[in-house]
Amino acid sequence: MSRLSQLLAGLSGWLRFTEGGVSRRRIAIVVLLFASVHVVIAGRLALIGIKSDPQVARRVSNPDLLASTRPDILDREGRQLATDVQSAMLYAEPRKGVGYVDDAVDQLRTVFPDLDERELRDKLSSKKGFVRLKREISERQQHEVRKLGIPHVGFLDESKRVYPAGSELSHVLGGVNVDSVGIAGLEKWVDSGGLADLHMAGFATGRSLKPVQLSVDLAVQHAMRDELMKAQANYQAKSTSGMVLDVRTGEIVAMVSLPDYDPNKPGKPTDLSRLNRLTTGVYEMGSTFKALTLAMALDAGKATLASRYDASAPLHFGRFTITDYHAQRRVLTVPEIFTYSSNIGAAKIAMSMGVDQHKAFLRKMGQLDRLRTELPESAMPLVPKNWGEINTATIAFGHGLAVAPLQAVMATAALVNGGLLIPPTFLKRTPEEAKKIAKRVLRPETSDKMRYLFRLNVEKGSARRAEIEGYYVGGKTGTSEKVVRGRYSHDKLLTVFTGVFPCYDPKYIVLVMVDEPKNTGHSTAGLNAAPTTGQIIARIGPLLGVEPKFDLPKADQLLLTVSQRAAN
Amino acid sequence: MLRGLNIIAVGGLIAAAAVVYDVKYSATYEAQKVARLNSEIAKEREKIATLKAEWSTLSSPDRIQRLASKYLNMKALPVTQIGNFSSLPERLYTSADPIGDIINSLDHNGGARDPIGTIIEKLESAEHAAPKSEPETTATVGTSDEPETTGSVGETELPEPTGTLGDTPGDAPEAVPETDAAPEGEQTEGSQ
Repeated sequence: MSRLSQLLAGLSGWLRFTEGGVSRRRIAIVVLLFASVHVVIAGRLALIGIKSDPQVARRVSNPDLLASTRPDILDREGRQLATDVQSAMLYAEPRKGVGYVDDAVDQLRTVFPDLDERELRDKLSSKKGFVRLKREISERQQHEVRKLGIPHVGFLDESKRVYPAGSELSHVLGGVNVDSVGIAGLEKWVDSGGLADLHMAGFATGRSLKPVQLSVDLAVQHAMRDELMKAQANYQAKSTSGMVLDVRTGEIVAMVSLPDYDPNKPGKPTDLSRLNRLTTGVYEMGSTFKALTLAMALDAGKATLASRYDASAPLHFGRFTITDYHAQRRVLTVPEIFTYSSNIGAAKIAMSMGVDQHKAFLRKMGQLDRLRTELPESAMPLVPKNWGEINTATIAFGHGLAVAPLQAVMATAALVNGGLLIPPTFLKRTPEEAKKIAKRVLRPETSDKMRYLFRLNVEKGSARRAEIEGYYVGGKTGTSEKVVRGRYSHDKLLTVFTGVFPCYDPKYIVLVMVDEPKNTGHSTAGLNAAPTTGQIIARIGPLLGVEPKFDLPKADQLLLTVSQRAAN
Repeated sequence: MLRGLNIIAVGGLIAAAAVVYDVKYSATYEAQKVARLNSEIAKEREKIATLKAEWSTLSSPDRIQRLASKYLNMKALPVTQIGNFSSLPERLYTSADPIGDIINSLDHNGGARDPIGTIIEKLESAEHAAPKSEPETTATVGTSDEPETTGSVGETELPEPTGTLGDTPGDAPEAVPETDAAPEGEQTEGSQ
């Protein structure tokens, strides 16, 4: 007690002693020191408060999610085409020890009898930090494995890409590898938008990614695929393929290439079924190319619908001879050249334009350059190196120039939609957006004439079997001989049909390709591709909301009203 | 004065410490709750995604077509069966107040709309008519109904279940008393 009082007395004495000017400054220094320390502490606190607690943040996001997610892919109506589902994966950490390896192997094999014993033993006896044992494990199996109580064996959630529609849209979607990285088709395109980098950085997790909406309509796609499968069986063809394109926007509504594959199942990328014939294959499109030849001449004013060309005798070019399949042996008008599909007539029309103009026109129509879409796969057209008069003559009826079918469809769309070349797309596009990127390649009057020719060909030409009452179908057939070992083969044919409907105001183009039909008697396009197209249009017309009309005039009257409209 | 201030300061300090303590722990608690809810949301989202994928698989056109062709007797829609509104005939009569019309019709001829009432009325009229002249009743019964009325009771009741769907309910009350009247008429005929 006395010591305390002494201490207090001393302290008060010290305080009294320091009540001078110097000590006051010292106090100020001390106060300042303490204050600065407090400021530092407060600042640090504020910083910590601003930054979120890393511990809490980690708990929020799912740390178990191994493979990062990909955006859903939807069709134009919002139906799911590709999505991620989570599945558990069984792993082990052999470095930390899994107990007796033999026991662990036996126990695991009671739950998963399909696991390879030796492989499993090798994996567990290795000194790796982490080994993946099995993917896609059900809840029940997880429970059973947990009951086994093997140390350092556990489960991780990983996302798996699934394609609910199966093989329906295989070529367009492409596929992903086991690490959820796109390896083909639109899946690869999705990755090209920086998603792969996001994956690497670990940001693309959860379901935050905006779904990708395609222009494809699953119902139309299915109808087309179903009809093509029927056709493939019916005509015993090597392959059939087809597509539907919206001529007003360039949207690809359906694209089927048979044989196809199930993207849910991993397969070899070299497999023939992985080939999308419409974008990666190049073909001589045969007589369907005559539409381009005629449009060129009509647009340039070199020919009118009343122009006549002598198709009475075959054309000779050195040792080549151009003949007609449905030879009429007389002078033909332009519509007759189209409906009788006269090679001689088409060749003469192209030659009247000259080689350079023909080449320039085809380049303008996008037939000589590689067409790129969202699909990473594309093909370069096979253009003759030395383009002479003979080439112009044969290309006029679709031989000697091989293009990707998608390319040919793009050009045909320009022939009927009023003369606008619109790059095709797999993504949803509005007519306004299409107008912005469209390029005018033909006069609208030429387009009106082409609509008439297409319709006329279905009414009384080679495409009669494509007629579907109410949809005012127009179209052009094309049968080309395939090149086998450098020569045109007479029995290996490729038949093509480009159908347009409805011809009074075209909305959609349907392309059907039948590769090597074997069923004799149905070898030309008018007998196999045309009726198949008709069937497809009958099925997809209602799906696409095209109203059938039954009180429509014949093609001749259509042209009459069009010319009247032009005169007014 | 100074001591009072000190005491207040110390008290304030303790109170502030307590408040800070409480706030910190409640914040931690809330953060945990948020984290838990977020993980629950993520789980639910995964479940939804799985269910959606399942639904898409089950409703894929390929599967629907396979099942439809197996179990349903349906055909593809022919183009000729598609019509438009302008091809529909003009609607004959449109009422601004359909319920009011029903009430009005009930008020005006309530008897006709009351099935039991009509049955009784018919029976009464039949009974009244029966004593007047024997052959007349049989004649009316014979002409008003099918020729089978003169046959057995079972036969007269036959046409009822086979009646087409197009028969409006309004016809029913009229048909019922007639078939009922027929055996009645026969009975009277037999008894007399």
